[in-house]
Amino acid sequence: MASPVIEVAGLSKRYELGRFGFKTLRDDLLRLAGRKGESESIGSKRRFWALKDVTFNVDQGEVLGIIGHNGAGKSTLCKLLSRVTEPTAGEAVMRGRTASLLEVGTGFHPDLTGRENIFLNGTILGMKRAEIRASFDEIVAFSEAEKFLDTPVRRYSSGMQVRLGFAVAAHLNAEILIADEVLAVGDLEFQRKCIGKMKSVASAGRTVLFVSHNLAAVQGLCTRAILIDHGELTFSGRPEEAIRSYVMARSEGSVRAELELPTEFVAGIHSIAIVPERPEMGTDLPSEHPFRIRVCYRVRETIRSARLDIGLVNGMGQRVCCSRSPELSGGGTDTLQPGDYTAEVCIPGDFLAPGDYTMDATLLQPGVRNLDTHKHVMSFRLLHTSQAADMMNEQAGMVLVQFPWELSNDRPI
Amino acid sequence: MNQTVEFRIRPRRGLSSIDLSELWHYRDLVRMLVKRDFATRYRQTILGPLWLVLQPLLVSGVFTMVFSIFARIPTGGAPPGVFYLAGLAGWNYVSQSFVTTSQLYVVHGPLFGKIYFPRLCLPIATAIGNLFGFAVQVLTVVCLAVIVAVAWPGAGSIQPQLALLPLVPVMLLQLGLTAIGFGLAIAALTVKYRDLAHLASFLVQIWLYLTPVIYPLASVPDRFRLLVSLNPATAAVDVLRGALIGGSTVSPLELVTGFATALALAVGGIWFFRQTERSAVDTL
Repeated sequence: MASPVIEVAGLSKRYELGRFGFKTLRDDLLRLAGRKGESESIGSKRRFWALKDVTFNVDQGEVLGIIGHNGAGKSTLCKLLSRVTEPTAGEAVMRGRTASLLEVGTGFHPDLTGRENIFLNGTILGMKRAEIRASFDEIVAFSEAEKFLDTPVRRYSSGMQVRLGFAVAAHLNAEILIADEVLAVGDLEFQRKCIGKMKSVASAGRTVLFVSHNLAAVQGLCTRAILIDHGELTFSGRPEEAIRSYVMARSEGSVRAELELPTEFVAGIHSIAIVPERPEMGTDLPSEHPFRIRVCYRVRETIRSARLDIGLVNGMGQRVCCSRSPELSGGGTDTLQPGDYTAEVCIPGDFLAPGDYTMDATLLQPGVRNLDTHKHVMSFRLLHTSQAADMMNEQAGMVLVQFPWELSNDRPI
Repeated sequence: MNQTVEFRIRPRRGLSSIDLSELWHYRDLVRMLVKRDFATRYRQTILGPLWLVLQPLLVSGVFTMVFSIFARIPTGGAPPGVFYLAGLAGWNYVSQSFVTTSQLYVVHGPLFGKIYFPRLCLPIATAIGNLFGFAVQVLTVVCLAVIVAVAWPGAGSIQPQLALLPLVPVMLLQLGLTAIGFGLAIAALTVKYRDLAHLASFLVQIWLYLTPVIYPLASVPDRFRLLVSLNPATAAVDVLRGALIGGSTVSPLELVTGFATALALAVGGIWFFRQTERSAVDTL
């Protein structure tokens, strides 16, 4: 077996926060002139490890998904591996040329035409002109930009620019392709095309690093995934498992979640609890039994026409369903006077497919404002117990539904 | 798949060498950038390359009026209009390349955050691309010199020092190195200190007066000659003008001084730029 295409060992990146980019010569001169005390106060700016001691390998032909919350360090990792910025410590070895698509927008020059930009971008990625010419037609076909090839890129829509950028990066024969959030823009049709292209890139023996918040795409595309949390690599393995530990990471598996109310608020949710049919069940619930979700909220100022939304999110990070309460009221009136209130919603049995779930809860005045929002507040697991839930695989879908069936025997043989 | 390239990504420490082999690998990019600069600069202007002819003509016209007619600064016997135009050829080349290079982060900052390539490709492409403007200007000077010599034979002496021709490429290299080194140093400084944003235009103003564009090098008193020749543009402007219309008085020592300063500026500027490059992308 050949050595891995990407070897990352102890890679770390530190940023200095606070006085970001607004340094002036005056400040530095003052610091030089000032006494130690002053220079220390300036020197004590906050340091922030965007990436801390990350180690992993990627083999040829792998599609590695990189998932994590916003600001977890995914983009920093991509930037380091693309050599756009330098690590503070550690080392990475890239065996092959790297084509990268970092965030939205690419290295296009607005005054040049699409054709010229394809050549310029390819050359920036280190390709020879003959190589670019060889894949030129494919790039044009993929980006669907043939009509606009001789139009300056400044007149392209942003979606068109991303299409062209992705087409260039994916079609050039770089051995490694880094795609950071390419699916964030562009329509569904294009997303589907991108995913298909990345699959074929990988099956051609090239290596892909794929960063996305689209967890379903990560699962569909990647052969392996790593999870990055607060700059540290916390999981590496099968994509489904990485996604599950990502989605579950923020919600602790208790029956009741106490939520912090902000210091200034009109109305807010202060606790959410799962009320199983039988108390000993905890958060592992048999899927055929109904259970209740209890939301306790506090109102500070009189409000009217408020509602509660409870969203259920599955282990793939997909929002399976959402239930909106009727207008919240306390005793006959349509207004909520200051005070504490409780609302309960019943989730029927044999409705959600077995698996891991978290909850989103929002207190809102529809069309007016969100009063309080909590994401991934609590996790629970629906156990695979009933007949209906037996169909537990990809064919099951996200919910189990009992539609009426009619059966008949039309012609006995 | 062709031979595998291996990149090591690790924190840079100490003196980072200027990776010339990497630059050579990216020569296609330099060529593309030159083409791009050319296309973007001249495609969408009505005057197009005509501007390259008009701008120096207008400037030397104003110079003639102010410095020759009003202030009566001698031009060493050459017809003033031709004298200024010939001096501006070298000066415009170095000053324009310098200003463009000093704005490296302002113009290309967003690109740097998205894609890696040796940043040095950009100023090199600028210095190469501006050679076209220089060539156009040389043609303008030759045309004007011929016209003046034929139409006003008594206007002054125009005697090209053809012996200086072999020095022309060296002088252009000297100006290119100066523009790249000096420009990169200013680019690095302005990305570090925002209050230095207007430094480049200020420096260009002063630099013009320290360079023999408005006056011949011959009019500089002997005791200042060595000091003036520390400016790499001094010898270059004088030699380039001499080759075109004559009047160059540069000495071998001054030539060596100028080239040595240019080389020092290039190495120092690139080194300083590399030092700040690693953190620049993070603070942009």
